[in-house]
Amino acid sequence: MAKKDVVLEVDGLNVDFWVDGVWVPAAVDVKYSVKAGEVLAIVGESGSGKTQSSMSIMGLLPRNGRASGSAKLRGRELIGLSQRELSDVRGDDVAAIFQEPMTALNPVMTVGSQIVEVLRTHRSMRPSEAKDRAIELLRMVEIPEPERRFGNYPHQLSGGQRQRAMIAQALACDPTLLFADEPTTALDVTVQAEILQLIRNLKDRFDAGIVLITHDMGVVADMADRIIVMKDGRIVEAGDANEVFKRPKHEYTKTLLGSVPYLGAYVAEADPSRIPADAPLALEAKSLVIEYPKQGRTPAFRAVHGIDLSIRAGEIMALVGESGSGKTTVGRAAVGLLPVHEGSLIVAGHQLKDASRQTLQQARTDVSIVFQDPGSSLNPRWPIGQSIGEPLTLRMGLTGDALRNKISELLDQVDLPRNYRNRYPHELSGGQRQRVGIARAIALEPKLLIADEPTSALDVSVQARVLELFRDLQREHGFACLFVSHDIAVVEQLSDRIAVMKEGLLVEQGSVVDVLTKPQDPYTRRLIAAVPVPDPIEQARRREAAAV
Amino acid sequence: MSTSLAQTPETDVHGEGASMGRIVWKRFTHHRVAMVSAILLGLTILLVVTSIGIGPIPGWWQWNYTQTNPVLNPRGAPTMGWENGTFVFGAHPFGQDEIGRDIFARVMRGAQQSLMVMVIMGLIATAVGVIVGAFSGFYRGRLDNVLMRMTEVVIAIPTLVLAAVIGKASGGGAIPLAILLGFALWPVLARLVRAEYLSLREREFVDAARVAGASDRTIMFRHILPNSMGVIIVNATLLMAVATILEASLSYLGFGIQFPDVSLGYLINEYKSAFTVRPWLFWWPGVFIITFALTVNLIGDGLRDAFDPRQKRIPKDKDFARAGRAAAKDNPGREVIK
Repeated sequence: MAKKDVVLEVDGLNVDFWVDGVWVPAAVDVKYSVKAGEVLAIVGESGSGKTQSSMSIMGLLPRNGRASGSAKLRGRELIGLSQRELSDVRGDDVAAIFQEPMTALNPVMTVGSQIVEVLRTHRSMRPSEAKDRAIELLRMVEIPEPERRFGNYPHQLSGGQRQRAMIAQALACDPTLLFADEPTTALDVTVQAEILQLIRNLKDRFDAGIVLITHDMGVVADMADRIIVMKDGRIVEAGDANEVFKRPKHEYTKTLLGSVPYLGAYVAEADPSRIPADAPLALEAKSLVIEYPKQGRTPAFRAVHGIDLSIRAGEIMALVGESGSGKTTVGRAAVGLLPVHEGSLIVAGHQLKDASRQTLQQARTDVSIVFQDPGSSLNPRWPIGQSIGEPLTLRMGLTGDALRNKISELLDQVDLPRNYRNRYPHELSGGQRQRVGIARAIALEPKLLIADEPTSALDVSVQARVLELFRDLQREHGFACLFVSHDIAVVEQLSDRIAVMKEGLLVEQGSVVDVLTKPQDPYTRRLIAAVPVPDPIEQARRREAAAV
Repeated sequence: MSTSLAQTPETDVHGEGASMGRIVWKRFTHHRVAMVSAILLGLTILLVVTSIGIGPIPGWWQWNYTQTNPVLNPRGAPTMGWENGTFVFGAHPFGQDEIGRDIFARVMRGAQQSLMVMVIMGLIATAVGVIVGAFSGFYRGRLDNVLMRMTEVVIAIPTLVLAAVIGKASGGGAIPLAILLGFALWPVLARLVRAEYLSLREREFVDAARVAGASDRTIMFRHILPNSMGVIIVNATLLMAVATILEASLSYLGFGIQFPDVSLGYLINEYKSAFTVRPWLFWWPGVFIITFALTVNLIGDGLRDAFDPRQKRIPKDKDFARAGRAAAKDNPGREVIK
């Protein structure tokens, strides 16, 4: 590649936030440069300052934030410009793609008019010209039927199409610099692969510098030319993508790379005979149909169309699928939070079809659940000790010292200090909260544990530790587990068997080894192929293989 | 809440954090207007309660609110004021009416009645509103329909007309009036609580509690209620402010507290014709009505700000300047920007 112009030059950039009377630094002395046609990835966990340092360059900090230092866009200083001057730059020279296209697009304006708005703000164009250009842009981002989609509202598009529309809007004025803030985090893995492919194609065409902000090492490996690793507001490592992946220098980068779930890394360790074939069944579903009952004028919605699934005692069964596949629905039905519409669902010996209140209550002593978002599944006004102790009090009637001892024991098991008992959920980090969720779920020694995407809200290094804890606890307590996840790489290291769901149906199930090495269903194959691997060379090889 | 990373284990013990209650308290005590109002209201209540005493317990004030005394000043003007360069209270600091009754004692008695109406009515309306709202929002469906249609009926009746009928029916006693008014003013709170419950019941911690084996009542009152406390407390205080005004209007119209007892509104009504001749008869009850209504309202505002975690105080320039100076002191090497 020929030597290109430097588009953005950031030097000594500091970002601080004013919190309770003091300036708290969010990014310290950030320094990097982006060349035209190059993808620079900024990698870090939540709170590392990767997003805020980029937002400050566009002047999008909240009122209590401030930026200092220097950020030059083609030689023009951006830090310290007035909002009026910045709004000329934003959308024209600098554009951004945000994480969640549903909230980044205005829900009451059509997709087309939002693109036209950008065009007419920065270019003197007649409405008809702008419309033609917008349709052209929509076609460029490969949205089918761009003429029709032009008049659609954001909610009428799918998640992937919305993100494409966002990209079209960002590219409307041929920006020289594009910020992509976790552009694929909210998307399913197969859609993610398509969007990444699109960004890569457009990159070459537009010759813009791209700053990709992400925590996903797989995405980085797929896209980045150069990498910056940020931790606690500082750059800890910077360098060429291949170099960083192959020979990470900083300890933190190594940890980060080490904790990325690597598809295929555990298959060799899998032991198909771990669970005896004649073990009793912890869960047995036969042509199970689950409907969300109708509410007011919303008709009933059938989320699961008759599936057969069985989990033996002590076995970890992974249920994998994309959003809307009905996998979470199955999990929630297994703890009786959703009624079984047809078929049968026997959980730890209790038939949940048409179950009475008593049956449900009894079943729930044998089955429990870890929810996806630990921030929402713990009562924010209760100290965590009380949350953990609730099932113990309600079911076993434990009070006083007996209850306290049991709670301490549970906190020990999930590696939380005992004095955390009186803390409130908002005082804990995401990983710690999920540990609390796990402690609560195992309090009653359940025979079956439903884990509903327990790590998808967590950072990757935290995720690795929580998964490890989860596996240790399973070995120790021996509960059967239905592990619901959208990430096939995560479930690989845990599960004995994998079931793949798509649109309410089971398309494939089998042992880990079988599903990962000899996937039968085309959908499973697509799912496995779409998982990004944290290795740039492997990604390039795969890309070429796909292109042929 | 930055997640501690690789080097520091996740289980690292960091400083003891504050509980929700303490955070709310801290935010409230930092709300200057609300704190001033709270102190002012506290002092006023202290004065009102101790001056003429409650029931059989005598207070420190020499007159009671019904006895007639010799008129001291012409027309019974207040004895409070400047005399030879010093401030004196005199025997009748708020003045006397045309038959020599002590206005200070009467205003104190009136304020006691108004306070009582305010508190009793506030408590009853809050309790009914919370229960109706909680059941309605939690169970939804048919129960919700029935309860909400009922609420709409109560809302549709003009409060003052309803209160006038209630006032007549209650026979002029402060407590029956307060109780009946309480049963008329709950709908607004019921709707707000219902809305809170409707959104909170969809949160995952409710499902978690259900899986843990909690009954509906436990979920409603031990899980969800603490989470909607903000809305409830704030609206209960605002309701009390409304109650003060409502009682005053009713008594002014002659439907509220009846002779021989007095309330603030009653006093204003009784003396309205004397406005040009004896304005002090008029002013003092008015001052106390305004004090109660205003302070309670402002306290409610302060509580709302304290309970809403999303409401971050936007820093002002002088705060920036102060923080900048502090930062400069801490690490002098770094440039300080305005």
